[in-house]
Amino acid sequence: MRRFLGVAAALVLLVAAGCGRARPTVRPNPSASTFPLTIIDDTGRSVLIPHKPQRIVSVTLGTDEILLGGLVPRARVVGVTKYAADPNESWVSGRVGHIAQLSTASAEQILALKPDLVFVASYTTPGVVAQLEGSGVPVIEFTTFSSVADIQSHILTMGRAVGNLAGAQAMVAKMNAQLAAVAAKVKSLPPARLLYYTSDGYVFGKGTTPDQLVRDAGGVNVADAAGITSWKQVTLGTVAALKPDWLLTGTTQPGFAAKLLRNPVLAAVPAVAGRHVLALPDRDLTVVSQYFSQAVQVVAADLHPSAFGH
Amino acid sequence: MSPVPLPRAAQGLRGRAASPAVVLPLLTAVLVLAVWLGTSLGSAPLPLSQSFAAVIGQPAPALVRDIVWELRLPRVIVAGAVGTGLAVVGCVLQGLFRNPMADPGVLGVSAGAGLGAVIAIYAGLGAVSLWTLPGIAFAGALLTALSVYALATRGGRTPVLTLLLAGIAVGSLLTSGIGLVMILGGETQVQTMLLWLMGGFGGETWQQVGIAVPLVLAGSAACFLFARELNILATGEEAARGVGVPVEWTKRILLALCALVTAVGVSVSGTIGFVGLMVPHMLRLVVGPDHRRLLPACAIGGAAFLILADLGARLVIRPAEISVGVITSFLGVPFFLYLLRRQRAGLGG
Repeated sequence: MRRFLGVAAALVLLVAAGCGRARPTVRPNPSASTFPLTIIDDTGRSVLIPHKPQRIVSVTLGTDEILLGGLVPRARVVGVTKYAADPNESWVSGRVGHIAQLSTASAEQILALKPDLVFVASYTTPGVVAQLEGSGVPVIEFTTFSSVADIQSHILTMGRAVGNLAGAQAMVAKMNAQLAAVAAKVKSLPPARLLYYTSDGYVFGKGTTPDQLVRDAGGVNVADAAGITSWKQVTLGTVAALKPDWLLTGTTQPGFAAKLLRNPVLAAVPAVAGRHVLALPDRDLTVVSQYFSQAVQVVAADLHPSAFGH
Repeated sequence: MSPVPLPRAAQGLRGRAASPAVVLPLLTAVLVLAVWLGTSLGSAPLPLSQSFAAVIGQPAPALVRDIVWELRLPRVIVAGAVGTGLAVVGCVLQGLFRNPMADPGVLGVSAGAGLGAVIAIYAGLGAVSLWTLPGIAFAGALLTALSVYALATRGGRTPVLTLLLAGIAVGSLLTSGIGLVMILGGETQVQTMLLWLMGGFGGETWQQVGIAVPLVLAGSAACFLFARELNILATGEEAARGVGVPVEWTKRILLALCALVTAVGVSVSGTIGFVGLMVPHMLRLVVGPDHRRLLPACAIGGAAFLILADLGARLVIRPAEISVGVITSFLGVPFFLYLLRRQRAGLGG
């Protein structure tokens, strides 16, 4: 249950579509900074925000990162997930400071922070959302985490809700610029055949965020190429049969990458034979915020060091 | 129900029992204490005096009032009602099946609700509305109960042993189905499924109180009307028929009530194990096996037990919460093993 509240926001992207790269057109909305403000969230509900929120609570890691990544001053955030403070999980761990860290999506914990706006996700217990709404707290729920376009849509919605649409638009523009820069560097390079394999034996195929991450970084996801959709648990034999040139794994279980390198079953796999096993912090692999584009840069630079001046 | 005289064997049920005049008020006092603790303590550290003031309607800060009235009280009421329902159903099924291991899960109803719930989560229906997931879980539970009953019924008769085996078989099949859906689901979905399957009361609202609680309590109360028949059935179906008990009709009604109560309870709280097994056994040791005493004791004791278990779930790793099913299982598994050993000893095994 360790990741339920926060990292789940990122992991839900594992069922992300990821194939579309359409970027939302960002249009200034003059009414965005005028409170009271009504937002239609992903569930179709009208959420009335009576005044510019000063006590914001976030119960997903993705929204933690968007808020603390520069959308609002830290003083306006009163609650984030406990994962926000974990440098392995979060891009904003250094900015959490004394903000309350929520262990679970408990309405009681959230209400005790006296929030005037709460960001939740579709996997937040429905009853908890109803409880918060019943107590008169505006709750904005995000339900789709399917693509970069979804991430950017969330950023813009949050920007409107907190009264900083311009900041949200700048965040989206920066993402697009970073992604475009990576795309320009890797487009003429031979794609690296890569497999993301977790310490608990899962690979990620078509329709997942890691799939998009790999493709945006100039790689080919061999799980996708083998017809694997979503995320599936596979044996080491399958990993060997997929013959990736690169193996990508997280750092949740220290030493896992070294274990892969030592495993005789994988000895003939090009990634292991060539010692191309990348162990990256989970924040790079499960990110669902504006930092996605930075994660793409990190992976691309590892796959194509010469193109990035390394 | 026309009164049916107790056969001689069933009259032995009157022995070795503490007086209901003592036990029921005592259990009620424990229940009142549980409600007070359940509304006064929680993940948010509220001053006890303020939360108590809020409970009894005295002036209290708005935040305290909100937490006590909008979060804790609905939670405690639903936990109490589900505890009542599970304990009463467990008691009825143990009597009906004449099997001390019977609990609300034996009909496969919990597994049916579980499969409905995980399918709803997998299909992304859990977030559609507050009622979608419980509604589909409820449908799964009732469908399972009907299937088990149909499978076990031949020629208008439903032998309890066949029913028990059919329930176990169907329950196993549905549990495998739960596993299959969990394999297909995404990681976040699997976490949501696990949380649901382990049970909990974290998301209860007054809406759930308004719909689920009356159904559970009414179903449980209806079981009380069959206390005498359950006593007679404890001596065997043939003996019961001999004294004029309409056995098949009684079984049918009781099974329907059990399925309804379990389905409603499980659909709002998830699967919470061992309450229906433990509470009747514990209280049988106190008030004896007479269902006329045992059922009311189970109703009150089950409510108090689950409210306190839920409180434990809120406090063990405060301010985070764990699933109440974890608490009941930690208490229930040792008790279950104790029962097994006791039964083996009784059989000379």
